[in-house]
Amino acid sequence: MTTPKLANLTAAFISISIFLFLSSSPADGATATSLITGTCKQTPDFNLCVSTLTADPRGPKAAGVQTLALIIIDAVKAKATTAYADIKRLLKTAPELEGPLKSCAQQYNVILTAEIPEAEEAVSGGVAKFGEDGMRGSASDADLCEDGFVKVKSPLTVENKVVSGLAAVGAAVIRQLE
Amino acid sequence: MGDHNQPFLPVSGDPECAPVLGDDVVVDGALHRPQPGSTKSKLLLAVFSGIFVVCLILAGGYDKSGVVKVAQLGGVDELGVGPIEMPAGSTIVRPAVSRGKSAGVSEKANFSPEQLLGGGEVIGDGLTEDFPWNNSMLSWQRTAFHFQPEKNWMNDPNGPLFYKGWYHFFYQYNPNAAVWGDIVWGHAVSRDMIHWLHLPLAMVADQWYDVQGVWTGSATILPDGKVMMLYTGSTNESVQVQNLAYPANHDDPLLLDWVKHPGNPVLVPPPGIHHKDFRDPTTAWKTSEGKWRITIGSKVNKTGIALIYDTEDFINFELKEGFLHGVPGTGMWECVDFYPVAVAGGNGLDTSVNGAGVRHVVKASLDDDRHDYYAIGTYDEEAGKWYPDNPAIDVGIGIRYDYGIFYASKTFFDQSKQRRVLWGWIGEWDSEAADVRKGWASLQGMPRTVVLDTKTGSNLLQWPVVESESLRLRSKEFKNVVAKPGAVVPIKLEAATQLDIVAEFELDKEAVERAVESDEEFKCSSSKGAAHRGALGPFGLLVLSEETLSEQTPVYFYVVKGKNATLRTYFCADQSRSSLANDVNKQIYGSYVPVLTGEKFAVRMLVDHSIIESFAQGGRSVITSRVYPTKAIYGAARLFLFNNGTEAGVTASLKVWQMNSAFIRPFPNL
Repeated sequence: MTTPKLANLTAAFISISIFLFLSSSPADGATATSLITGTCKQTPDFNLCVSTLTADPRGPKAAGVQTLALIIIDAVKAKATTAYADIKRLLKTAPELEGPLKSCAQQYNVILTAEIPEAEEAVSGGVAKFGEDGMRGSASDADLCEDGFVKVKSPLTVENKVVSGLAAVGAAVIRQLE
Repeated sequence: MGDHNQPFLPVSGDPECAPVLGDDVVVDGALHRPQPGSTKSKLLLAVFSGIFVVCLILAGGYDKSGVVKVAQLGGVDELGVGPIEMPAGSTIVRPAVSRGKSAGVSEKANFSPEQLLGGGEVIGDGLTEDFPWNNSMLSWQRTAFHFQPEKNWMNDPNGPLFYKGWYHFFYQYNPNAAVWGDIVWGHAVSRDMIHWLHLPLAMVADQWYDVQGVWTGSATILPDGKVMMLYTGSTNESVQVQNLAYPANHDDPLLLDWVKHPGNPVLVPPPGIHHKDFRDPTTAWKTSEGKWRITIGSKVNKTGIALIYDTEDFINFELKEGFLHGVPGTGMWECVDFYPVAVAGGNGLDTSVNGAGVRHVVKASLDDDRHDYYAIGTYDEEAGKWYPDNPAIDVGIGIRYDYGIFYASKTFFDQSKQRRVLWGWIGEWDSEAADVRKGWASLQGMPRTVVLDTKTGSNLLQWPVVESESLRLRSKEFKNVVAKPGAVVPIKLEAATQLDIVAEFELDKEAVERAVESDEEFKCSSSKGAAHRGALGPFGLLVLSEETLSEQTPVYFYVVKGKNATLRTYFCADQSRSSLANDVNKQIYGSYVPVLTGEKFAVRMLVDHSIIESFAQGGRSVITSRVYPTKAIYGAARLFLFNNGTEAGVTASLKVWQMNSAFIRPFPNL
């Protein structure tokens, strides 16, 4: 290892870092726009809100809170769909957890077939309060699933927390539409 | 005399009350300040961030959003803000008016009545396991004599009217699920507003201008008897527009079929009004020019407003300049209602009545807090404006129709009995999951007559329509039952889930005189409910209670003796112990209620399974509650008289009727 090479490497690191630092500053609209940060500040989980919205191509281009709300609802739907698939799988592979898993299947069924469609229709139609209901309901149902594992460790903790947290963020974003 | 109702106080979640969040935020002691950074430390941070990023790349764990994550390494992100905690008082996840799980305590231990009412020690750390609802508990919740469809979701009352011998009721309905969505118009008829018969859907979402929802509207009966129905449609592009519909056959008393005017929509959002802030047209009233006038709620920024339109044919409309009225900070006005009341009380008035001896009521459903507010004032017909008698309790900041769950209400003039009748949507206070499981959600309140309170002149009186008395079966009277301080007295009944209760209470006069003046500033919602002991209260009834009081719903009065020995009375309902389940509303709520000299404390209560409607002082203050006990159901439900005050005894006299079912069912042979 020669000294000039190390110096160059360090310089390269610093350059990359500065570039990354600058490119993630609020002045640049490539990632978190001021609409996103302003909206996410009024939710219970700023980081989750920002990361979810910036991860969706619609996020940084969103002109209004309604689009952001729909993105979060889509994210809840995606996470809930995965969780539901996992529940179905676990019902086969972990029969000793049948009781709470069946409850969870019920809860996630309600999320996917009733609460998310309600939220989507309400936010699109401009009657945000029913969208809030749908998101709060989804958060509650994910919590109910988790609470059902009383004497045993829940195999779904991470997923339930994500759905619950994301739905709570969704409700808070939708609230800003009212 | 004296003050009247508490002005509306901001509710949690209202952006108006939340502190403005900037980059540096300290929230109620929860410190989340960004670290003051010098350029040097930022550079150092950048260097370490860069190294970390490279490691991530090498580890193959880098993803698109990694930039933001990386920047948060030090616990402080690039945007200068740390994790945000919501300010106390704007609890987003479980705000005051939410449905679903509450933060109530799991009441699984068995307390003695004294412990419970005396504010005994709380056991349990909160939510533990899910409450196991079974079908027996859930099916008990369906009501016997309140309007509800056979299944699925309902919300706003629509276009109520009396026509050719039948009361008609339409409502927002989801034919596909027990949650809101796919909204169409349900329809039912009744001879007496009690015994309802379901009819086929009146209107479905079959036009481009209402394909996303056939929303709320109102009926106007023309002098020649014809019916005009104006309603809001959500178009294929989710724009809110107003449409005209009328009966296909005016000779059909059942008004089964409806025609949508071919030229719909008749109104689109005017300039300056957002296409999602334009809904719920009212019944029309005549102007002195002989035109028809309607109002539609909306908002401009955070000011709730009522737009005015004039029309001669319900097809062509002229937007009047200015608004009928607006109140800053109240947000979107939904389901606006506008009607006259007689100063002398007595009968109701046709919507077009104006002149001396008349006041006008403006009512709005506030989208922001899901409560219905009204104010009484003067209507200036020529200017097209309305002014509140008391701006301090203007629309949206003053009196509510109901201090419990009651929204999207609408009145109509019943010309057959010359009364103004109020319908209100009663939602659910359990979880959406339970609604889906039980297959239905929402009720309508018992229809109420509305008149001006001639004794105070500044509020309305609401009372169940007189036909509700036709449901009364056997009665039992309990005269002069004494409840000493701390007492819980069983009221022995054959059953306690379908009741009409009329009760009067008197406080021991000497105790009232002896009581020390207190400067307590009482609010039902910030009190400890029935466990909040004062010298002169709380006292009232424990409804839908279980034998050992493991479940109980107190509805009660709380009296404060203030300066100059004036008494102030509050009327509250306490759901904190209404159910052992942990996914239902557990709040305490109510309001101040004027009790005039010479009046006893009086309440009428309709108990119908999972709904309780409580009318204090002849309907001066009303509270509707949705309650979901798990044990205090069927034959196990009980009624108690209680007095949890510390100094004054209470003497109560009650008459309790068992209430019949209304046998609400589909119209036969249709």
